[in-house]
Amino acid sequence: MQLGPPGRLVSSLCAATAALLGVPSGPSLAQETDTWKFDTSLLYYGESQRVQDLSANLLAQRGWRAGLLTFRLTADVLTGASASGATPALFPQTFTTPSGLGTYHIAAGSTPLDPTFHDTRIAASAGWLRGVGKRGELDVGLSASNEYDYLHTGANARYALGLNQRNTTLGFGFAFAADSVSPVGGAPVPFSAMLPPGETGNKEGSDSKTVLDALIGVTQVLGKQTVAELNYSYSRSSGYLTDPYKLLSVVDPGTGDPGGYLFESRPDQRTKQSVYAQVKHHFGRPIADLSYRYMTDDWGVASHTVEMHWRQPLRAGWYVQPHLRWYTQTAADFYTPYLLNGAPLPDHASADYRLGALDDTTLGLKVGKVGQDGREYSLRVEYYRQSGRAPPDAAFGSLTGLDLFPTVDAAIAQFQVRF
Amino acid sequence: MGETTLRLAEGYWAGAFQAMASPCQVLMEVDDRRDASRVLAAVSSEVWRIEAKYSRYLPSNIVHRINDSRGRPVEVDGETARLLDYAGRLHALSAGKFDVTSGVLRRVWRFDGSDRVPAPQDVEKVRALVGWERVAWDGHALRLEPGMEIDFGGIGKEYAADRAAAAAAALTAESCLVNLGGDLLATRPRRGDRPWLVGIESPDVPVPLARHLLQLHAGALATSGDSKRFLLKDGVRYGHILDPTTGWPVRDAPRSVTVAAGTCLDAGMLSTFAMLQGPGAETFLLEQEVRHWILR
Repeated sequence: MQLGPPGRLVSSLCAATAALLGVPSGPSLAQETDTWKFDTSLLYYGESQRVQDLSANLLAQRGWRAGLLTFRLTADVLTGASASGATPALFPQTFTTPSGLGTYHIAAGSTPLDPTFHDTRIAASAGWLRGVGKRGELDVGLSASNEYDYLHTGANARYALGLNQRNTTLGFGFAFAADSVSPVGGAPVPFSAMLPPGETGNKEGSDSKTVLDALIGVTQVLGKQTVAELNYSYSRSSGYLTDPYKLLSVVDPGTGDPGGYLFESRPDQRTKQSVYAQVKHHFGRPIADLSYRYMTDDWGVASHTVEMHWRQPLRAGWYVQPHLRWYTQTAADFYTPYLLNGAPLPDHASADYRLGALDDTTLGLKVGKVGQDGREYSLRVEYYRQSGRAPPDAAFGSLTGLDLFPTVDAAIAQFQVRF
Repeated sequence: MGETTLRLAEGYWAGAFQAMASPCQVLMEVDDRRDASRVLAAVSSEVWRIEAKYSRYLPSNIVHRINDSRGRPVEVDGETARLLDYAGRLHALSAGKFDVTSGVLRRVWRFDGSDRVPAPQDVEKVRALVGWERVAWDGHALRLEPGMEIDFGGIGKEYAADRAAAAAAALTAESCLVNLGGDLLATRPRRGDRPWLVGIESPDVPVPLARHLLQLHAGALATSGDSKRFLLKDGVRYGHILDPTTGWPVRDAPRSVTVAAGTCLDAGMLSTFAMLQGPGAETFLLEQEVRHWILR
């Protein structure tokens, strides 16, 4: 007599064992470690008509008795156009490229996008995690990245202390970064005018900034199925925080037509504070996590982020994981879609839409399979939509019929392999 | 009672003793020697207790009384009743391929590396004495037909590992690893969330060159299969996993199956069930969605 395969019986078996032992079965946390573990992915991010980014990521990790070593390497290629900050107009506009050597033309009615945007970025980091004392662990790391106009170097450290039989973990983290900026064509003098090609009198060489981050957090196990986390973080940036490629249109206070363009100017300090809360819960086999972040800074930006994942295991190692993210922010105090000709210059001004009031929504789905011996393949696709909210009375004169805050749509696709 | 040894290793205490024909080990991340020896005593005495009560080689225990009952019903204690209930569940879940009455097949099958494959009529004769479905079990008393036997060999070591680990966890909040001859269980993650490192013995190479080195943070690992126990005749290798529904070794069974699960019993039963699937072992374990390692 040949019986067919018995099918899925693991839950019945675990129930029978629990009845015999008088306790429910705990989790199994075993993994293979005879070699390095790798996590590789290829990520595509594309905004309609704008920036396209292709990035390759590699994570390599190896555990020893003494600790865990992690390396990360990322290579990015960015191409496409990005919004310059200038307003659309009823007539065609001509701009000098950031290099100061050429020009590009924007059709009447179109959002000015700088088409010369392209960059290649290489980023690398290394981390070492080890146990400290009876209940602590220390994670230290170094990072660096280089792109055509930007060099980042950083160091970070995190200490975690387990309390209450490790049901409570306190975390303390610090990170420091020293970055230098060498903009294409030089860093423009703030509020200087965009000059015709070949004139570089308003451009200086390079500049730099430093960023200090600190974090304090607590993670609490709430029963067998639930873990909650609460963090507070503080971040202070100092130095050159202006975007050297962003412009402001100077528009006629009567007609709304642009008469010239100035480079933007931002404060040289920014202090951000944020609070983050997350709850992760196992509903039997499915796992859900829900998180919320509130961020506020001394530029006047305040944001709320709500994010949710639901991981649903299917048969034979397959799983699906829907993802929802909703984000909203208020505008920076010095954000303005344009400057008015004849009005006194403010201390700082930027028309960068990323500092304006905006909402964005991300909808995503990941499908994956955990194969034999833990190899995992997954594909994630996401749709992202960002819509800016115009300040009241922003549109007047010729600006009335123009789209000052075009919606940005983006698609994200990521293929990931872990082995 | 046997003998235990205790020594300080790199950041933990290592206790050792012999039980169930296997070397047994307890690794304890406690600081104090006294704590370590208390845990070791609790673990070893629980393992020896279970061995004395359920070994089929020891006289006058409950297994001996059942197997010597000549058709009369035998009243059993609560722990034995729970084990018999469990054996009944395993029989149902495995569609008869796991059977605590199948030990009698060893009267004709001796896996000593020789070519002495039994004659089909001899196999048929003992197979007539196998079958949990013919056992009268009412939850309190058990009655076997004359000639039948029961044997907890397939679950005893895993049961002992789970019970011993629970005894260790009751004495210390620190991580302990209980290892009964390769069936092992970590009570909880180690300090700093570091894992215990565990090698799975490969049939072809000695332990120090284990084919798989695993990190065990918590939970159990159990392995079925033994490369040294087989018969070889006319170029056919007869592995030692017997299918009680046929009385013959399972064809094309893997040489070893290791499964990770929450308890040693779950891990051990899943690896045994996988062996019983023969060529279907991989498909079976993929269906269960458990971490596993198969050597063929």
